[in-house]
Amino acid sequence: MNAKPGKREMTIRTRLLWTAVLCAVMLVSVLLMLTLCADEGIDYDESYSFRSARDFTQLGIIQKMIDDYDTDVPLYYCVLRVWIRLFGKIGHRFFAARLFSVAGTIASMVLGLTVVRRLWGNYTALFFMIATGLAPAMLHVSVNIRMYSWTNFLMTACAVLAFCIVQRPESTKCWVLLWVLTIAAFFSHYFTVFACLAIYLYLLAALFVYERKAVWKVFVCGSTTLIPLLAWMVVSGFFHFVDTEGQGAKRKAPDISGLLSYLFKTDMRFWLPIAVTLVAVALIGGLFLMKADRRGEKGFALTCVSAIFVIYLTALLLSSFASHFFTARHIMHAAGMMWLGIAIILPRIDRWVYLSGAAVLAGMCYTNYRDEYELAYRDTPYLEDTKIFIEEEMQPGDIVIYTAPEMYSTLYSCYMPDQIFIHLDDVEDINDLAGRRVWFFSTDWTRFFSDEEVELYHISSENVGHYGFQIMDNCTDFDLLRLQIGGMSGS
Amino acid sequence: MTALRKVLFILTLLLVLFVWVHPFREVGNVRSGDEGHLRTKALGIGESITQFFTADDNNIIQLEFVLDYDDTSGREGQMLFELVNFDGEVIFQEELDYAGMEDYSYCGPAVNVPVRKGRQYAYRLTNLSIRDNQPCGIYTTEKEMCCLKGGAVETDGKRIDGELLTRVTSNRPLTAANTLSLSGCIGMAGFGLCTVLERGAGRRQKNGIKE
Repeated sequence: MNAKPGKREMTIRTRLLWTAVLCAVMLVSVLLMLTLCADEGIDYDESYSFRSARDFTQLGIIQKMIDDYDTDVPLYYCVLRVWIRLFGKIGHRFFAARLFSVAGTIASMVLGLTVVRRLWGNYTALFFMIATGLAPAMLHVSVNIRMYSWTNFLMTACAVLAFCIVQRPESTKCWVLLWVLTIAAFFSHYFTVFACLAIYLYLLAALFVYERKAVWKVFVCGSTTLIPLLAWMVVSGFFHFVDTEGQGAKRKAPDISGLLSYLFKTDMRFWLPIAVTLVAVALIGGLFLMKADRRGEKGFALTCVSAIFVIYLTALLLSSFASHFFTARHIMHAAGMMWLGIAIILPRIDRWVYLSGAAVLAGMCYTNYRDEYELAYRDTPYLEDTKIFIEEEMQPGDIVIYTAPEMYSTLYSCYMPDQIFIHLDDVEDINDLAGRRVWFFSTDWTRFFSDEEVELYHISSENVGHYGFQIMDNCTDFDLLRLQIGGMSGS
Repeated sequence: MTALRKVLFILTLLLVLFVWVHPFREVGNVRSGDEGHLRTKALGIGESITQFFTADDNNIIQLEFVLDYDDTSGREGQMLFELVNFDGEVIFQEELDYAGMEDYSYCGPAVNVPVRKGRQYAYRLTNLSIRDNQPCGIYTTEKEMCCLKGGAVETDGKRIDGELLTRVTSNRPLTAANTLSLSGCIGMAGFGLCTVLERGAGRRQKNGIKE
């Protein structure tokens, strides 16, 4: 009996072993994400997503996006609504919405397990999957009720498709899929346009070098995806943000350490030199040391790593015309691509460099998970007490007057859907409130009814304690006052 | 060139290992959590609250605690802060001006004393001369909100499992994850350079230049 396995048998066994390892990475990552999903504290942007999806019909969402006169696009909210309707009964009120973001990350990880693995091998897939699931910023968006985990997936998938097209420009399936995913990305967040620009420029350059006859397809695909987005922008009044005179726009100063801090910062000492080394080794290695096996591979990896930084600089330039146009997290759409680029380059430099990079990533991910856990469960101190208070003391139809910026009613009403929120400035006739159940959220924006109003309308208040939803900008924790409004004498 | 590459490779390997044995440290702090807060009774003159704890490291830079009082009334008088070691010996003490303490905020003296890891210590707050608006200590009994090992509070002659809200600043060793990342970072730079040398040598050989 020959105990030694044959070469083919070894290959199958190794393949199975790698599949098991990659599946285990995915399983552990998802479990870790789920431990964060139990967090019931949400920030303002999350409350906007949640309310848009919960309180509006599909058409209503589209109308809301247009009426809000903002830069939002509707696809994410529409799909989130369907998801909440399907799975909304699971867990606490925000659990299903958080799961939708987790699903976006799972999609990226599945991309790693299948296509990335087939194209670049096990080592790249392993690195990419760990980074996608647990790296700083990536883990945060995985449980954040926003579109970023999905846009990350869409951008990474578009990039991978672009690479496949460079290998086989005649593949109609790849072109169609690229077109569809690009549209989906554009209608999930407008800023994906800039990540797409990097991908399409790579595609254009690579096809120009290797398959000049197919270059026209890039223009057709790119321009036809832009048409619906431009139409939407005109309809939704997007361009009112562009200040042609350049007045009122605050140009943002370049802050590379700020950008790196968004992408890599954890509660770890020396995080900045570690991050700089990782990116620098990937860029230098990609330029000079990487062994490329296929056409356009080196250019692809370098485009992936550098896209995020190019987008950042473009955004800074654009902010000269419309400062609203850009906030730091908008570069997030290309973060998955960046990790993919690093994951492609490192194992193609040298196995020791790859191992060292993996050690950096492992340490970073572990620390990041701990930071995220702390953020989720130690920074929302009032939530339990507040929930109990609302449940026991407040009734549907109760009126809550608040002084925090007006938009915060969006966040409050995620927790208190049955109460009516009125900003203090919007109280038109105090007499209308006489005899009703009225509460007052006293935040650090300390204002109350004037002495004359208190006297005239017989307003008395009782402080029932300090409550809140999350410590943020002094808006979401407050002294809660129970008001008695007697009304004008004789009325 | 090959010899140089080998030297660099071994040097990198040694540096990577060195990170694990070198006592890299950073100033950091731990503090109690924000939920489940309780108040001790107001401290009369001569009365104390004591917090027992096991030293987590070999040094303490600062020990801070939280007091509660009526911040609309004036404050006058002194409090005594003492750090007591396992033999009951006071190893640090300082009189603190009550007027300088913020309501419901961490405050406390810079201690800067070496301690012995794993041994029992205690800090004690005594009201020396505060007559009006006397302070209460804030403590928690919820285990997940405690940051001190082996903590117990002694107040009003009773010992309770819990801790006065405490923030400890110390110079602590890097975590294993931090050390792993740091060693990986050194490895990436060092091994990357080795690869540069290797490829350079390969290219020279290809171009027919003998080393």
